Amino acid sequence: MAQALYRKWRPQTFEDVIGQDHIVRTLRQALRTGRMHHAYLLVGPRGTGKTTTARLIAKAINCLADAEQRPCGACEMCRAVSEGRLMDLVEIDAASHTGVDNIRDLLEKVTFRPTQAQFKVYVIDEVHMLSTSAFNALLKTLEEPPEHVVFIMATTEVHKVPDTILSRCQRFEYRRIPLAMLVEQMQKITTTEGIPTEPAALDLIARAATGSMRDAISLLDQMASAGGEVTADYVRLMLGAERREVVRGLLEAWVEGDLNGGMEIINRAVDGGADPRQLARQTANFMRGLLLIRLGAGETWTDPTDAERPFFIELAKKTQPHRLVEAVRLFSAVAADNRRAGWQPQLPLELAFVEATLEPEPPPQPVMAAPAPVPAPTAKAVPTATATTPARPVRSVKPRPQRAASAAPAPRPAADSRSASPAAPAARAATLDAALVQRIQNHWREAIKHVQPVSLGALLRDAEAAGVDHDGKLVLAFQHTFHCERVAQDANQRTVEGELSRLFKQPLTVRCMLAKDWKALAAPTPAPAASPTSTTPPPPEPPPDEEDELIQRAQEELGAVPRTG
Amino acid sequence: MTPPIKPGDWPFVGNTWAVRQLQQAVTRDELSHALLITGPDSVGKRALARILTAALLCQAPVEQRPCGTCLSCRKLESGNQPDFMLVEPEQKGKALVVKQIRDLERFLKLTPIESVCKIALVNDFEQANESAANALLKTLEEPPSHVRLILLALDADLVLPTIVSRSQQVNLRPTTPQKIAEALVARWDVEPETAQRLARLSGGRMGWAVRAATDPAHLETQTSALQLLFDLIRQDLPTRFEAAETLAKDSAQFAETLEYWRIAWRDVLLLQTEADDAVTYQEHRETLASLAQRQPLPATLALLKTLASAQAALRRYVNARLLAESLMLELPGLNFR
Repeated sequence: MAQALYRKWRPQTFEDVIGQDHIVRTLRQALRTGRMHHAYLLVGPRGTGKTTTARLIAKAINCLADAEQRPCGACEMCRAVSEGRLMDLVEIDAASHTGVDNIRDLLEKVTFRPTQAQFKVYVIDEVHMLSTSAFNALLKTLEEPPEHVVFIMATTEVHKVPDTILSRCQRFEYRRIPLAMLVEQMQKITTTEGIPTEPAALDLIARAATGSMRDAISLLDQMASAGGEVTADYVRLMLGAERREVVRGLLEAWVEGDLNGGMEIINRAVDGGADPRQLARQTANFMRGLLLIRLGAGETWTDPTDAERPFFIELAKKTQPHRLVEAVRLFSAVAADNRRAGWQPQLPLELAFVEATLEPEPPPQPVMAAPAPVPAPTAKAVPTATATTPARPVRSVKPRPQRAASAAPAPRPAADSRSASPAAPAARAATLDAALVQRIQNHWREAIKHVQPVSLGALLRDAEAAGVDHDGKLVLAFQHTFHCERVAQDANQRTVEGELSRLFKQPLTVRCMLAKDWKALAAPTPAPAASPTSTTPPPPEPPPDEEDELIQRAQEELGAVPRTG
Repeated sequence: MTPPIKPGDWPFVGNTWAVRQLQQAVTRDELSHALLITGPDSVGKRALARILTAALLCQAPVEQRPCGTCLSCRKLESGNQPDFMLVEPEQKGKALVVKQIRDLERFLKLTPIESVCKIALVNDFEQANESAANALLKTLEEPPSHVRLILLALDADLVLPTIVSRSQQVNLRPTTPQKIAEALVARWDVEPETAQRLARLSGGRMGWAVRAATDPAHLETQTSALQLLFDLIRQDLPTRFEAAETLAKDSAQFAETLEYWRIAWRDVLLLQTEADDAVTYQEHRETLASLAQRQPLPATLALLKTLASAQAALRRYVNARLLAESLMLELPGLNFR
């Protein structure tokens, strides 16, 4: 039974370790000068050489050859490690031995001297899976182990390793292996193993491997196992990648606004066995190239061949950077989306294509005219239910002029809100218009549900959005002093302001006061335009206003009867 | 490119490249020690894994495997083959836990009893919880030489990258309707016309097509889901809400209904972009076309997204009733706004 290529080709000397020169150099220097550390932590993405290095260290420190040549690969110790029979090399799979008992076992034996070699080497692979107590049990020994012991830990997820462990180890960071090095190594393997390959095929495999040598060799192994020559066509078939012409066609259809053409390209490709997400990734990649060309940095995009470049330059002339950005975003989202694709895996790609191709909506309407942004009762259940405001919501969200205008009242820091000057609300209060206050009132109950933490929301239930004061601040009128004071606390007030501003798409500052104070304040001079509602005591139930579409719809379509009184 | 091996030696429809590759690997005894078969629901992952297992354990001469008649093949068929182990979540929708992986490792450590190798098939591997997946890492990297591990998952991205990188991935994709129709006629004795229709409805998933061909109730769900959709479009909100209540009662069926609705609205999208050939529900073409005319393209787009996120929400166990009702508000109407 054949051994997997990636195991067969596991580097046996430091020279063979690829793309990690910074680590190899440090280690060799340490070996030469005899300054090996007693604990190493090897960190990096999959397939970059962590386990390999761990074994190489085990070899090198026990090697019987001269310091310069370690590991020699020929002496008794080196061969014992290569063949997996050195008793003093203990390799532990931390992912299946996560518990503290496993570590205690290990620690009991640490004190015994090595049987054959000079050093006992403990390799703890996937160390991030150890439990907290297992990590802690390790701490003392890791700090000051017996002098015949070396610990080497390897992990892909260093953020799960406690700081106390990190600070006791010498840490090596592994990098993804560059494309060219992956290709070079695969060439070496194919020549030695006698696997006929097309150079283009190796390039495709290396791209798919995203910097992991094991992925690359494993893919190569898989392609070779079918027998015969490894051709680029075959690799594409296996990976579900599409030929570049097809991707170019899709790009062209997008630029020309040819919906029908694009949809047909997608469906033909998928019927032909292309993987929709791969296709999306390839398309996004090309679009990124167009964007670079469009922004005058075309030469940094090295992907296209010389023959293709004029085509892309022509195409780039016909696009707009903002549409490119949007399209790249849409297609990358499809490529990155790993939710279950459903029964028709091409659907997300089709949606992205149509959405990217559709002409941008007419200039965004001002936000205030749009239907209430406040969550309708349904919005909680379906986060994206608001998607009925179709097409490109992203674009219409940013009403710059509006923001500039209404940002004016914001800057002043809220002084002690309750003892603020008791002047009557003057006509100046117009920055927050009456309609908005009305809307806030109508949707108050729903709005406070969105306030986190929930306890703050509960405090707000005691309040009403009563009106606007002369500083243009939204007045929250409370029934009880306790609630009022709590909400008026700096941090809480900021949270409330943030949340309200977000919900009503307008920067808002609030002022907390007691309802009776506000009534007293508002009564003498009812500001006519500013806050019509401020004259009446805080209405317990806002009247079913014609603005409130939700209520209106409920009445018309469901025959709901508004409760009055 | 590759020496001719007749595909079809293995009773598997579509994804010829994958079948050929595995066949070659088995014949030349070069199969990787760890295989990750991915692909959408009902596309044939399990079927392929079973054939592969049988071929690996079969006692017949290499080129006749799997023979289906030798002792090993028969034992496998009846679930008694001692060198084969199936691991899957104990309940549908539950996680694969670390204890199951440990049992698996214990099984793999022992030498084969009757065959040349031991095979473990792990179903629904995307359901493995974190420690279970991690526990498999070392075994997956360097298992005993007699071990072959076959993992099945919906998508490689739902599996730990360290797992993917240690295995050879075979990503099955939907098959062309034509191949499915041919296979249905040839192997399951389906009338050519029905076969054509089922093949189109299957969305390229052989498993679904076979189930629909052998079990009429399976098709029933689809028919009623579509009927419901077309009815709802003509109805007012109160009626819709009643329907929502019924829908929400069985969330598995609700999820399936949503899938059919999504296919229907995709058809609307296809009609609107004049890509008519790809339309799945040809028999409802008229209704779909009238929808396509009445509704602007962006609205279709938005609705498809809403349906997708509703499905996602359902998988996260939101209140199904609320979800159904909110969906009812989103559905367009013919004489209703």
